[in-house]
Amino acid sequence: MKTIRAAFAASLLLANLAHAVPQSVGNGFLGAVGIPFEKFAAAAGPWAQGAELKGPWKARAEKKGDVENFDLAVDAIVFGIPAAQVSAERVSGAVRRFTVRFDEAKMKNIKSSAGGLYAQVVANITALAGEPKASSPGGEKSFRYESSLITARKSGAKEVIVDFTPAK
Amino acid sequence: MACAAHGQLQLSLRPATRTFPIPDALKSAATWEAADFVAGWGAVSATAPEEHRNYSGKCLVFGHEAYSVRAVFERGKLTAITFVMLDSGAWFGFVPDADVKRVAATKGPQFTALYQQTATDVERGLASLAGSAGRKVPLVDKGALKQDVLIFHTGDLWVRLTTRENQLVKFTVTRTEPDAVSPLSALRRSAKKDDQARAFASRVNNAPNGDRVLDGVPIFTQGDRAYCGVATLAMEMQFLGLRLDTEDYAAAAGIKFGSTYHSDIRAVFEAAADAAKLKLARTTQFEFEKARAAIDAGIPVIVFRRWSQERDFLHGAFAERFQKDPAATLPKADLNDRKSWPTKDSFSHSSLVTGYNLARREVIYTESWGEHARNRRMRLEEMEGTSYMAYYPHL
Repeated sequence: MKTIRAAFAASLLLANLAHAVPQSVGNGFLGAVGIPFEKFAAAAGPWAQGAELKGPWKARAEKKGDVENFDLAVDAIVFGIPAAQVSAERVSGAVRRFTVRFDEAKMKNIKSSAGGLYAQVVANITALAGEPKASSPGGEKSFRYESSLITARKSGAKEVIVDFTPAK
Repeated sequence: MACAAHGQLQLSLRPATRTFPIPDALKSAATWEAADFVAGWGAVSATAPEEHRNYSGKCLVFGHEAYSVRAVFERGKLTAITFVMLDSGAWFGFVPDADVKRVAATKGPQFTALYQQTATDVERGLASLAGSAGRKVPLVDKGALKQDVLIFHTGDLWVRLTTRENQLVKFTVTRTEPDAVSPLSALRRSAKKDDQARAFASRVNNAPNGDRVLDGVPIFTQGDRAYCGVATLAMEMQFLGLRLDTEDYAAAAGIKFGSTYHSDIRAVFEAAADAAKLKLARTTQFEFEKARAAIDAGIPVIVFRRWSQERDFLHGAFAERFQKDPAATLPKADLNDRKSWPTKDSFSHSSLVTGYNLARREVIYTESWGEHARNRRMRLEEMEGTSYMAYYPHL
């Protein structure tokens, strides 16, 4: 029995070693635009009047006055986490907000975020941007990163919303 | 699913800025001294014991474009150039286990034909340059890396041709015959053990912030290939003087048609240590004290660990921030943080531990993804808690 157990354990080790991860050269938003979404949204470029909204975006049908809304038409990994939806709000030809929605229910790698999607999103933003500049009693946290203000908040039991707005 | 997507294939994505001087560079040592030729490898230190560099331009040789052309410089002097002419992992790209049979059936015959053509053309070309059919020599005489090679004397240079049926065609040009027929560097071939130990230890850099980091560890990018384990092994072993490449290990492990399905990488690790005349300790979890002793001796440690894209982002982002803010700290390894660590259900991945900082309780590690992934940092509790195998070579 011991021999069988040892052989089984050895086969598991070999299987583990063989299960390698490739190095991707990028797809989704990264493949289309060439930089990760959080880098794109944190830079000064997208906020300029008349700036091109890089990447494949789809305009929503409704338009209220000067306000236009767009949805990203490809998948995006934002802060290392697959986003359920990425949208942009443009007012009078200038982007005013990017909104990223993370949905725990739609994440394939759900077990890696078992500690709570919100905690993971905040930890990853902190790793990039440093400690939050402000925290609200409701748990909303705001970070300053490059040319953007990044705000993360819970939305319901399984969703997290992250807004990028231009830093003042 | 893939690692954080910011890597590059080894050569094919680079702009071709110059043309490799074929055939002169294969037969004339004088070409290796030419300033224009040396410039093709980028800036090289005159004092670093050893540096590995990719050529920045295209290389068409014997009718085939090389996948990669890499050189070894020792204290600024070019000592060897390796041309990878065909590699099954690069040709097929990453193939998930579930697709391996279909890919082998549909694309396998095309690759087999290409392999035969490439191997034939390269061998003929080298024989033509040498004016002889070459001499068969056992490069490694036992174990998973057992390999006969052909040695050619071309002008005042030497060439070692390695072919692995349906997997690999590559050749290495050297200045001397001993460098061509032996898989070991000159230091590892001839120096006394104490001298070798001193040479290894001399590469430990003690930084003012308490970092103990190994200088000069080469990075061989795995590209879109299932090669993290073998690329990490190549980084380790080249640093320790075993002149075998990622592609040699992949072929020996049986990574075929772009898949690790049924490959035996562990046997290759043991064979590499044997060929390098090193002992190889192994633990089923990363052990910091063992790793610390290895780093202090100037020897990197290979870790197999659980990997998730989400957690990898944190470490990559932190490394970037740490460059600007040396006071930045990683999240404490508390219960909440541990819930974000990858688990048994996550992907498997291999990394090279290249240093540590005891005061900060951090392990410093390097990925086979490029310079941007050199000397990342992870709390040692996380490295211990997410690893499932570690290798500690020693003299």
